[in-house]
Parts: sequence; structure tokens; C-alpha cells
Amino acid sequence: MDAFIDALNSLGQGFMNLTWEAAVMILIGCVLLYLGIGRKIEPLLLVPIGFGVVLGNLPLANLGAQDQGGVINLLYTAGILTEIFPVLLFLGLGAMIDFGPMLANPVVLIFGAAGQFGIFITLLLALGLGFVEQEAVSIAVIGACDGPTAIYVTSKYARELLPAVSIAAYSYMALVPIIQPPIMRGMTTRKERETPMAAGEKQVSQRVKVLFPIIAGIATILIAPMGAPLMGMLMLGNLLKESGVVGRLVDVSQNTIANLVTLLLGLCIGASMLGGNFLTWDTLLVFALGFIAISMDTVFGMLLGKLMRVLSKGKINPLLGAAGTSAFPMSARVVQKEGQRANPRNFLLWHAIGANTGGQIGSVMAAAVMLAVLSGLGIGPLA
Amino acid sequence: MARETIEVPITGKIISVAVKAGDTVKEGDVICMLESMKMENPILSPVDGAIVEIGVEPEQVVKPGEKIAVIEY
Amino acid sequence: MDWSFGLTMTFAGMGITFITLYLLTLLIRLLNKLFPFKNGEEKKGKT
Repeated sequence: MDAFIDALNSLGQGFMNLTWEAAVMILIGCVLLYLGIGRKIEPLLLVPIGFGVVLGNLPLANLGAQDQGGVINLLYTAGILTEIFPVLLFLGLGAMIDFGPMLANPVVLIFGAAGQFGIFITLLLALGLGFVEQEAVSIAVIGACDGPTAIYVTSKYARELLPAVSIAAYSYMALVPIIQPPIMRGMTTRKERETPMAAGEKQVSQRVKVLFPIIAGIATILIAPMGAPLMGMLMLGNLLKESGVVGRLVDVSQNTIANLVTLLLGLCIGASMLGGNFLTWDTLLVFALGFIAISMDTVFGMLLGKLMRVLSKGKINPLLGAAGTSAFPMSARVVQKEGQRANPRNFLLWHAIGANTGGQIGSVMAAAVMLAVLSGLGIGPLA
Repeated sequence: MARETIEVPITGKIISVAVKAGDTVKEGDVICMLESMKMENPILSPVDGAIVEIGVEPEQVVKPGEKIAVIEY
Repeated sequence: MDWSFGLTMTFAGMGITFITLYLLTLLIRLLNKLFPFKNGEEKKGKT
């Protein structure tokens, strides 16, 4: 009889060890699953993340990202703490991206720099709220509007914040179509939004498309070597695509590698969202600061857009400024929609896509510079 | 009566055409859907008027400058 | 709070990002000038 009770006891261990924080997190995981499956919101991210949250928080399962020796811990240690996953994602991203619109109309590249301004405003705010340098930088990178870049920087400098930062980065990327339009409308007059632009599709020589990733890769990495893993892989992926001679490698980069890494990355991020480190005041602050970061990206993009409209004597529609974030292709789509709404003759998509790809280069560049400054000041990762 | 020709703004494929010759349209009404850069983009009527001519059909691959429709207003 | 870190980061970050992207626009202009698009090149090398 005692043996029977012991057996029952060991079976009940899971229930006995379930803390309220873990229960709340499991519930959050289920909500993410519902959003992904039921509402079809970013299912490629939310399904692995949601189930990762559930698995990571089940007691005694040893599947949390921090559970030494557990299966997910191995993936987390090997893929995220070494930064391999975000770097590989950039390879896939490079193979998917078409720099054509940006190469045909390089002036839009400058919007890609303005779209990073929110990063730095947020950095100052986070420092003011008392976050230490490494944490402030990691939170600020949410303003890069770029999941892999945020994960790359945060896993390097402030691991404790990784779940909050990555979830915030991916959520706000998806929310760009809701966050940006009110700011865009609020900051422009109807007349400005109506500014007509020629649809502007232009072809560029294949040689330019092949040479750009090589030369731009060399130049940007010489300027900011700390960003080399991201920039190098982005440019390699793009070179594979534009070279036209390695179709198989392009295929494996943009499908197999990108999908595999998205799955494992999502699972690991989910499993790192534990009650103890996620249900905290800091998480709320990270989300609030991330929202400010993305709003400020848009505000400064619009300001530059208005300036460019004046400088170009009305040839550039200021809405394009909002496409300088690296939320691709969400920002470009928003700009296209808002432009057409103000003036049915407007078709800004081509220019907006160019600015949007410029934003992707800009975000990596901004992150690289921040890493360089941190290492220059002798500030290392948080223990 | 003035006429305005709506041209294809960007390389892509016509997915659907929402109007036919003889229809009246209002400014901002959808003329057709154009798939380009992996996005579905509506092409809108720039004016209130009547469709005189339609130059595209579904599944057609189009290039910038080709005629989508002529509107009389 | 120590403003020097935040301000260094902001000015270096924004400044270098802007300058780099501006240099890239110059690079692209140069490349386009050296290798202008020729008709008939279309569809070649597409994957």
C-alpha cells in the first residue's frame, strides 16, 4: 500500500510543484498559441514561441531555457547565447531581400538612417529610468524594429532581458500597421501626404546588384567591425541571390535555414520566458520603452521626410520617411496605403520598399555602432 | 468630357478586375488588384467618372506604363 | 545619472549611421554610373 502511495506521489509531483507564476506563464503561452492558430497572427513566430512558453514553465520537465542539460537549454546555449541563430537568420533575410528599388533610387537610403533615431531616444530614457548601460542598449535596440538584431545585441549584453526584449521587438514589428499611421497623419498636412511622385520603377544593371553586397559589405564592416556577423551574413545572402549561379544555396538559405532557425529560435525564446524573469516590473518597462522607440523612429522619419520634401522642392512625399524602419515589408505597405488614401493617383510602394530595405541596413549599422561604442568604453556583458 | 488613363505603376500581376467598361466609379473606388513585390495592391480610381475602356484581365503580367483603364469624367 | 555614456552613444550612433548610409548612396550612384542598365539585360541572372 505504501508503494502505491509513493507511486501516486511521484505522479503528482508535477502538480505539487506548479507555482502560480508558472501557471500564469502557461496561460500566457496558451494565449500566444490562440493568437497564432486561432487568429492567424504571425503564426510562424507565435506557435513555436507559445508552445515554448508552455514547455519551459511546466515544473520538473527540465525544458526551460535555463535548465542545465535540458534539450531546450542545449539549443539555447548553442544557438542563442552563441548568437548563431540571429546570424543565420540574417543569411536567409539577405537571400530574400531585393535591394533593386534601393539601388535604383539611392536617395531613399537616407530614410533608413532616420528610422533608427528612436533607438537613441529610448536609450536615453532607459538610462534615465535607471537601467544599466548594457540593459539600456538592449532595450533601445527594439527601436531597430528588427527581431534578429535585437536578439543578437541582447543575448550579448543583457541575457536576463532577452525574453522581454525579443517578444517586444517581434510584437511591435507586427503592430507597425497600427502604430505608424496615426503618427504619420498627425505629423503631416493632407497636402503633404498628397505629394505626387512618379511610380519610379527603374531597372539597375545586374553588375551593380552583384557588386553592391560585396563593396557595401567590405565598407560597412571596415567602419563598424562589431556588426560584421550580421552585416556579413546579410550581404552574403544577398550576393548568393544576385550572383545567379548558386540557386541551390539561395534556396537552402531562404527556405531551409530561415525556417529551421525561426522554429528553434521561437522555441528557445518561448522557453526562456519564465515566471521568475518575465512577470516583473522591468518587462512592463521594456514594453513601454519599446513602444516609444518605434513611435520615435516614425516621428524622426517623418521629420526627415518633410525636410526632404522641402529640399527636393516637392518631389519627395514625406510619408516615405516612415518606411525607414526595418520592419519589412510592414512599413512599406503602410506608406503605400497612406499615400494612396491621401491621393488615389499616388503609388509609393516602389520608393517605400527602397527606404524599407535601407532601414534594414540602417538598423544593423546602428546596432554595430552601439556595440563598437560599448566595447570602446570597455563595457562588457552583464554577468 | 475629359479622359484620364490609369497606367500600371509597377511591374506585377493583375489578380482581379473589379469593374467593366460602362461602370460608373467614384474617386477612390478599386479598379483592380495588382500583385507586386509579394503584396496585393489595389489600384484606385483617381476621379468620379465612367469606365470607358479596360486594358487588363486577371492573371495578366503587366509592366509600368501599360493601360489599366480609361475613365471619362 | 551619467549623461556622458548616453550622449556619446547617441551622437556616435546617429552620426555614424547617417554618414555610412550617405556613403552607400554615393557608392550606389557611382556603381550606377559605371554600369548603367542596358536594355536586354532583363531576366538574366534572376533566380
